[in-house]
Amino acid sequence: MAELIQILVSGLAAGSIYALAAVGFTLLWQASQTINFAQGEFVMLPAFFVLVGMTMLGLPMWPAIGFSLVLSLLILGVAFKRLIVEPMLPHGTLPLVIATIALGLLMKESVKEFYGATAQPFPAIFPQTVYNLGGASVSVQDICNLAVSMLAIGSLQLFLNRTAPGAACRPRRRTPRWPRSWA
Amino acid sequence: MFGKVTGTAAIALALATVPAFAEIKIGSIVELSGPGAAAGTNFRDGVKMGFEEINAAGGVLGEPVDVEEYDSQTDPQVSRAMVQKAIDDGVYVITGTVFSSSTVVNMLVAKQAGIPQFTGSEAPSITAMNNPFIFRTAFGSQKGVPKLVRYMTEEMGVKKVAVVWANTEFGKGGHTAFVEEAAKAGVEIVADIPTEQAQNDFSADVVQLKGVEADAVFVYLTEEESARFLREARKQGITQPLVGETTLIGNKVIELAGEAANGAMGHVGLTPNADIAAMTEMVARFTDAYRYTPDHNAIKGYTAAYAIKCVTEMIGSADSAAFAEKMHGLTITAAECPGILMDVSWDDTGEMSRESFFVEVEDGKQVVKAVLPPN
Repeated sequence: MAELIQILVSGLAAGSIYALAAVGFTLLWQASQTINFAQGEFVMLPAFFVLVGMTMLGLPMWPAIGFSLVLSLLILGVAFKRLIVEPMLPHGTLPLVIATIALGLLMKESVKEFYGATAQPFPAIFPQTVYNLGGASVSVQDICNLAVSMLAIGSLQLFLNRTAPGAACRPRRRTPRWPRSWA
Repeated sequence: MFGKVTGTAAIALALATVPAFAEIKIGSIVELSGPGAAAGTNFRDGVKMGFEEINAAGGVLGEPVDVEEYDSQTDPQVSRAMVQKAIDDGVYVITGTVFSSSTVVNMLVAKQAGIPQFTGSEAPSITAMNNPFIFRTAFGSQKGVPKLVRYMTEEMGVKKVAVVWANTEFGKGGHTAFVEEAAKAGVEIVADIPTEQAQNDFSADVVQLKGVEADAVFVYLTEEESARFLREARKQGITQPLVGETTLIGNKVIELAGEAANGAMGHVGLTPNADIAAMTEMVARFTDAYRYTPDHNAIKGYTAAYAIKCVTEMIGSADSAAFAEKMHGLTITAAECPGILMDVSWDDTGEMSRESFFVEVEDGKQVVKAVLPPN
């Protein structure tokens, strides 16, 4: 039983991180018909921005996270849309998909070149206390991962369903329109 | 006028085709990206520093050494292509790769071309494939593991062991060697847990450990996976000693695992914390130049550079075939070749013998507990 609880909790914690990446991927598809092959790199880059903020700019952790959020918004939001999506989308979905493959490579190689290719230790955002729950070790990190993910996904749903800018992000047509001659 | 121009052009062309003063080229083919980047970068920097020092002191046989770097991306097929590329570029000796899965594939290319290769890999199969051109920079696990098992049974009194290993060429080699030695020493294996390269989550594997009664856990994973494993083991409260080889307690692992690395123990062929003056000085110079503490892979690369220098000077010319022949059955002492740091011998298969150390991580540093003689 303890093993089941352990695997359940650890699985949920790790899975919630992947769920965030998946939600980002889906949102991009819904809002702009973009299949983003660089989604993995989109998840990686903000983490490296935090490290840049801390190691190169000497910022404490939370200001570095703020710095990373602003930079990510500018690069992965504004710059991505203006420089990749807008020029490529008029040519169809496939050219855009191929462009995101290239973008993924560019981002990965740039980080390797300008920061480093080896794994980097990342500072602990949450306290590292571990609790014993029915024989399973549940850390504050696990609980917080889950909480932050659910908060992010919940907030995103509210934004998409209850606000005007959110409604604009949703696709206008849900069902495909068939040519009249097929009816 | 036309005649003068063509005449000048012809002379210029002729001069251009005269071969430049012959340089000694070394192919440094390592994992600079992918899961092996930690190990490969260390090895590359060790080779680089070794040859920078050698060139500053006048080069090899009075000629400067040119080190060409190639990234194998921790991919066996890419590493094979890079070895071919290095050979096409005219290298004299190859240093690398570190990951055994890559070495078993790419060393066949070097063997066909007759180019000696100093590898950082430890899988036993590498020196069991009749390759006269492969030479180790750290002894294989079939040599290291018996020393480790002897220490575990005689000094630690271990009778029951759980084994966690990576399902790669490297991991399989260590696992097989350990299981054989444990059987000979009468040690019971109470759990056998295989894991994957680049595995992110070890919670299920550590859960299995909690359910067994073991005196110690033998951990045989590569660097990044070791760090993740140590963190998970600490989180789930594993109290049994975690014992491994160099990949469990290297400096990069200590950096990535943080506090979770304390208490981990390992048998290491090389350690920056050994009480050897030449080693301590090399580590200090490296840390100064590259801004990080070298791990055993950097020391492997450094000793490879000096082995190449000293052996080339022994044979008197940059002859790849003569180099390979000289290496078999050779012993180089630190007295005659200071850059080699410790006395080392190679046998006919390219396997090496050297003193080694049993260390424990205390407060983020490797502390030497015992010095084990060469076998």
